[in-house]
Amino acid sequence: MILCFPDLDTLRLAVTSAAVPPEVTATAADVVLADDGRVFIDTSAKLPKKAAGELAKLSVTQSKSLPGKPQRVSCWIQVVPAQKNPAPPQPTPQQAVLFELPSAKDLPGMVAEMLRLGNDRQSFRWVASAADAADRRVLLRVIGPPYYTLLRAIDAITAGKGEPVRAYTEQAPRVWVELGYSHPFADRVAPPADQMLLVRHPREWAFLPEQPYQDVYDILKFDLPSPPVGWRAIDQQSKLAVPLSLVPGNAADTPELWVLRGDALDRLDEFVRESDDRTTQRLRFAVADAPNTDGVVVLKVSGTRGSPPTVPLANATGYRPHPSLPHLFIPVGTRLHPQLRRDAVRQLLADDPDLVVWLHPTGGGKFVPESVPDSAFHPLEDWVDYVIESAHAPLKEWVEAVKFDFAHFVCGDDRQPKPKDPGKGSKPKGGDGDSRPLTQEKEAGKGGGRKAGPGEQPAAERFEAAAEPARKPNEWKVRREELQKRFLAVDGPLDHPDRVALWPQLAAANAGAGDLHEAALCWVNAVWEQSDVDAFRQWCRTEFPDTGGEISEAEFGKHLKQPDPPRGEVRRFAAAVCLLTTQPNPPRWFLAKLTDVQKLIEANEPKLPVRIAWLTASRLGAVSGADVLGLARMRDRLLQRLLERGLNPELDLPFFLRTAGLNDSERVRHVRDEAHALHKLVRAWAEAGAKGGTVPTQTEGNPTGTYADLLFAYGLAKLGETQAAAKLADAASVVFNRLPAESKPGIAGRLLYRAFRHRVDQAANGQPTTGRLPDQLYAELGEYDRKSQGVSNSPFGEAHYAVSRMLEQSHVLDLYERPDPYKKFTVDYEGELQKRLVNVSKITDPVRLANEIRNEYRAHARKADPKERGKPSGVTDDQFIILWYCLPLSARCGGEFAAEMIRLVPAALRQSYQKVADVPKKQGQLLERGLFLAGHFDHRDLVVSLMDAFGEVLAGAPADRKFELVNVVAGQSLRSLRKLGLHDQIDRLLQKLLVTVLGVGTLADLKAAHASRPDVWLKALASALSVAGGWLMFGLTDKATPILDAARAELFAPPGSKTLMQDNTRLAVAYATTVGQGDAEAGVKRLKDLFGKMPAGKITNGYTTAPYYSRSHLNVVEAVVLTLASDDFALGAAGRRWLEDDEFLVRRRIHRDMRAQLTEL
Amino acid sequence: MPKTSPDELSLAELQAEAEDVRKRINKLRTSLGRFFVNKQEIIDLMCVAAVAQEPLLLVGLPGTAKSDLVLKFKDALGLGEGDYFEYMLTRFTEPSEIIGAIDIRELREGKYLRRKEGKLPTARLVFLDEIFKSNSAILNILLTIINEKKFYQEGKPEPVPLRVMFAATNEIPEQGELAALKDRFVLKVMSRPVQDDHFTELIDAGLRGEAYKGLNQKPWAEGHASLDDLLKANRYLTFLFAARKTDTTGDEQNDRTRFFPDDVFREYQRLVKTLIREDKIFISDRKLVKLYKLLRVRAWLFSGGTVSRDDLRLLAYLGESIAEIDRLREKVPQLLGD
Repeated sequence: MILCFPDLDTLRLAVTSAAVPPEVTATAADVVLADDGRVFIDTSAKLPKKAAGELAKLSVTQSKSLPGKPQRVSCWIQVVPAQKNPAPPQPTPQQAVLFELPSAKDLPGMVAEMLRLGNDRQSFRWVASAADAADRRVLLRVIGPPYYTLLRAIDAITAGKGEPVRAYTEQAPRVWVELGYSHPFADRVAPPADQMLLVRHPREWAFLPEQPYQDVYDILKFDLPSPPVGWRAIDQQSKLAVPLSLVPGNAADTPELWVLRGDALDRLDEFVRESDDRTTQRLRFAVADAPNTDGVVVLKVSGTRGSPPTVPLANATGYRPHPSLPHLFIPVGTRLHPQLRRDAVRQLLADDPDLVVWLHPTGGGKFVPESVPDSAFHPLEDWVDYVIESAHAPLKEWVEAVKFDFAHFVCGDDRQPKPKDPGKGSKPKGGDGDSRPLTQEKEAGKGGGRKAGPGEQPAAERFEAAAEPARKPNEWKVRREELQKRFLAVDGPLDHPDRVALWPQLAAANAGAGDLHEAALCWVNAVWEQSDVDAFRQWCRTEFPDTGGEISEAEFGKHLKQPDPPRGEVRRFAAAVCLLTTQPNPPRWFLAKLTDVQKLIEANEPKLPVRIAWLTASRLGAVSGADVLGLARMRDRLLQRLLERGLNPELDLPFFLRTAGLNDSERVRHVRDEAHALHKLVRAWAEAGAKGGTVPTQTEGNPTGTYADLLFAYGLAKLGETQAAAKLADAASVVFNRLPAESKPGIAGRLLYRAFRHRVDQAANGQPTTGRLPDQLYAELGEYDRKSQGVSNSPFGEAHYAVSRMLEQSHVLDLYERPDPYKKFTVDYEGELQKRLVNVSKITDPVRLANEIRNEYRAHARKADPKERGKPSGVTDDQFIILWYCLPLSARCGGEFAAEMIRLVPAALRQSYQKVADVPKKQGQLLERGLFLAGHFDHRDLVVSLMDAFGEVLAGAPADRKFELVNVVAGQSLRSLRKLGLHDQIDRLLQKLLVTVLGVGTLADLKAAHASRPDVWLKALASALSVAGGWLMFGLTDKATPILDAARAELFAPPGSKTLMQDNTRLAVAYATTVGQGDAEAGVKRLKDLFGKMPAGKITNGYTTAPYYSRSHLNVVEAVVLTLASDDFALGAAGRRWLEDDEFLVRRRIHRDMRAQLTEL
Repeated sequence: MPKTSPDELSLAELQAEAEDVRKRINKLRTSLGRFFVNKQEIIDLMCVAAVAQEPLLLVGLPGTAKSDLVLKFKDALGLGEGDYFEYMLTRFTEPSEIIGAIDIRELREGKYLRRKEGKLPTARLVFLDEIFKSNSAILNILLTIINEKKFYQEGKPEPVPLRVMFAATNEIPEQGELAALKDRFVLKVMSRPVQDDHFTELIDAGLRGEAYKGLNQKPWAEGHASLDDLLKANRYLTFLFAARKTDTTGDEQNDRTRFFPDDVFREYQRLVKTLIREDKIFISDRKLVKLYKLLRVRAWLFSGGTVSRDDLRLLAYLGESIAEIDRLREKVPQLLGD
């Protein structure tokens, strides 16, 4: 039967639509392609009737003869030609390509070319033509062939006898189609089981037997350029003698050890006479002798603090320590040659660490190692007596300032250092009246811890910088130190009158020492509570020394015209404004410029310390005729600044206060060093723990360790280790980029990486790390949600969940708009409301924002029930959510609206809610935020009502909810209350928490009471830790230690069957947070201890996010990072307390001034 | 009257002299190499570029003999001061320093003419050091001169005699505004420090060079070839490029079919395609044509005519950045199987 198809498309349709049954199309046939496009197929297969009908519908007719010479095809599909691909062929590196070489002679060239280009993944087989035995071809199978070689086939380059090299790729199993082409029905072709098919363009098919390929190495022979030589080992009998010598080294070496020979003691005596006591304090010395030598005196720098002092000793040999052996000293300007490993040098020259060894040079590079026991060294200052020359006339004040207050130096007559006489005492200390500088004596008599009486002018006002005209800068520094000590020694709050009296003196000392920023801070502290024109004048003298503090119109105008003045210039300008506004009759030219002045101050407010900004604004407000609006604007800006960032230690707190206690740089360095050490420990812990979990196969390879890296990068950036942070974040980027782009962990990881990176960069740039993440990220997250809609098991949907869960839980990432991770999976009762609230949060106009929040709240009020008339309607579930969500936003709308919102909180706390999830947690957060805002806007009455409501909630709640509530409220609330100066409320809160947690018993009683419910006991312990945090914050370490120890014991105990992973995680988080409230060193020690000893199964990867990251581990890691990066650790307890007290004083004045202004209206 | 200018010679005249010219240029090429350490590769390229009259860019750190190569090349050609112009460009170089100052006398007459004598518009061999440091005004002038061999005097184009141009730079900038100028340099060759591999030779050659300088001697000016020889070679090859011949079978043959064997031509194609695809080397259409010309010049100079696989190594100098130059230096020989 001969079928005539109108064209190839009809044939294609007939095949694909099964109009012709597959068993028919699979048979061989004769085909003629007519010039007019018709296709004639002569088949011997029988066509079913139904098929004939179907073909008729497709206009397929029957023909009696073929219109030309037929071509035999193995099946009908062969008639359809292979089609040229639109894009050039791009085989992947792992794709196999089959080269058909027309001649065996072509094989060596092709193989050699590919070997040269680095590809040896080649195998081959011989193929002989059935028709022509002489036609022997080679099939060369190559994985990822070089493009250069591939071009031979792509460009159909003839090789050898003229027939082109062809290349094929496998389009369907055992169906290889010529490179650059594809066959539309390749997947329908089923070559016989033991055969493969080569499809050449257009319809040339060749079936070949499927045979194994031979590795190309089997036919390769590599000739070595020369035969190999085997070497025989010979034992070296004698050691090689290498002379060790001193050769010229770094001429700029600084000596740290000096050896005096000959008249050593005389020269030491001479040296001590000429040296100041700061040099002698840093030196230790030893006197020693050896057989056949004169005695030697060895001087050595003690400690490693700072650079070594300059010791002008004539004829003494100076030595520097060996870079890696501190007790071995090498002559300065020389080095050991050859350079040896540390252990070799130690073994050879300085094996005993108790000996101080120096290499005494004997000329020509030779040396003699000499040593003296380290115990032979004594502090030089202990062996020196300074005596006062009693008949010395008192010196004039300024002369005294540059001279020592002692005159004579006496060494023993025997010229040997004499042992210290403990009964006699050695060098007089600073407290001794005889040796104290006269100025000190005078000033001690002036102020010296004495309170200023009510009618008395405070000492500050009597202090005149001009009265101390002739101090040198270093003397000012000495004086500043003395004043700072006195300041810190005063027992009382920061605004204690004795302290206030010291501010002007500190300001003058700082100005004298050239530290103008510190001086300015001290001046504004001095006038903070009471403006004083003299103080302002003196501040101006400091800032404008050239004009003696006088501000000319020209000078002022110059400042006013600066487009972007630096921080120091803004401060000077503010000083000038303060002085001019405090004068009884401000100059007219100044009054004429008030608007410009105000604009400049407002524009540059972020560059000023808060105090200076407020003082300047309030003075300007006073002069401009009670510009309440301008002042309110500045108040709102400063309160917002305090709300978002608090006081900036570097900008707002004098250096000595922020470094009170431990040395600041040492503490920060310690915390930074420990952060690096902890990172390794914590990472290893998190990575190991994140494997396994509930479904081990899912958690294999999840990048929890990398997320831990990102958290630590954030912490390090906060600590100022920006380079280390960037390095960690960059490394994390590599890990996330390696995850397959379409995989769930890959999708989630890349987005989360960018979110974390945003925070790391913010921290590194010193920006606030709060607030919304970039909109783009939220938009992408929304896009994931959109892509997953209607698609089951969509990787985007699951990645959306993983990201949202992280955003919901992580304090580092998102504190504001926590997306609901379950939105996709639950019928969300809060869904629509949440959406609206998110939109509300985006409103920037304060008035509109307040109105929107009010409207939302009112719209969700309970419908009035006529029967319940007169009774309070209560807070609905929706209203609770609105309040919880919008209370933090209310700060943007100012104090009045915030107060309006806070007043709703007590009622919201007292109620229970049916549909709201996590009520205790949300109630705790509501209270915590309410307390903070009430204090922030100076509404003490609201603080009290909130505390009362909290007490009621605690009293009525069951034990486990009670503990959860405490966990949320404690900690931050205590900190907030302290910043606000609400000390009495802190006491109340701590007391309330203690009673709530422990009742009237002890920890042991509490544990016993919950013996049957270890999970409740763990919650209680976590709450107790919150209380302990409060104690630590106030330095009551003794009270906190038992609770910390109890928690530690629980965490180190083997995992129990009755406690859940979540409970353990919560306890570990509370523990890590609590230790951060206390001393940094002890805290870090405890953290190291925790990660070194906590049993492996205590915290597991059990949440639903397990394939992406272990949330439980990351919760703990985040707590550790936040602890390390907190002000508590970086500033130390004392510094932090000063900062909080200072913030309270700042707020108090701002609110007071504002109230006064409003009263005047 | 004997013809003095190579531009006036016919193909027959040039053909008669071609082999001698080739030998002379090769003599210069190999002789000049003796005065440098390991710079033969660059001298070869300078000769090829000079015959093809294509500009050549020498890239390299300061002190890698870039300027010295050009100066000695100029001396070796026996070029007088009037035919040679060299200048180190900076951001502050003004056009007058390159193309001559405005003639004040003419300006008084109302004519805006430059005094071009001794400047770039009158030179036949030009060397511009730090070419990419120049400003946009200079760049525009250079582009016109290189592209069109023209220079505008009072708004009217005047042909310039420039035939050979070398330029040097320490770095190859990435800025787009310089891309046009960069593309004019088909070949870019890196002059590398040689001290690592040729320490002793460097010291010896350096001392010799210092002595020659001190004694005011120029032994490299051996007079093997002149600039005219280069021009003759160029004219001769230009005649060949244009020639059409009919072979014994009646097929018309052009320069490619005569001097570029099929297998080498296909190799050339494969190389270009591979470099474009795998190494993302930018080869504009203009550059591809110029490259053909350069290959032919190299083939003629080195082996008398037919392009061989060895000539294809010229593709190693197509890099547009230092990274590309380094990569192609390894890649092209690898592809060619050297």
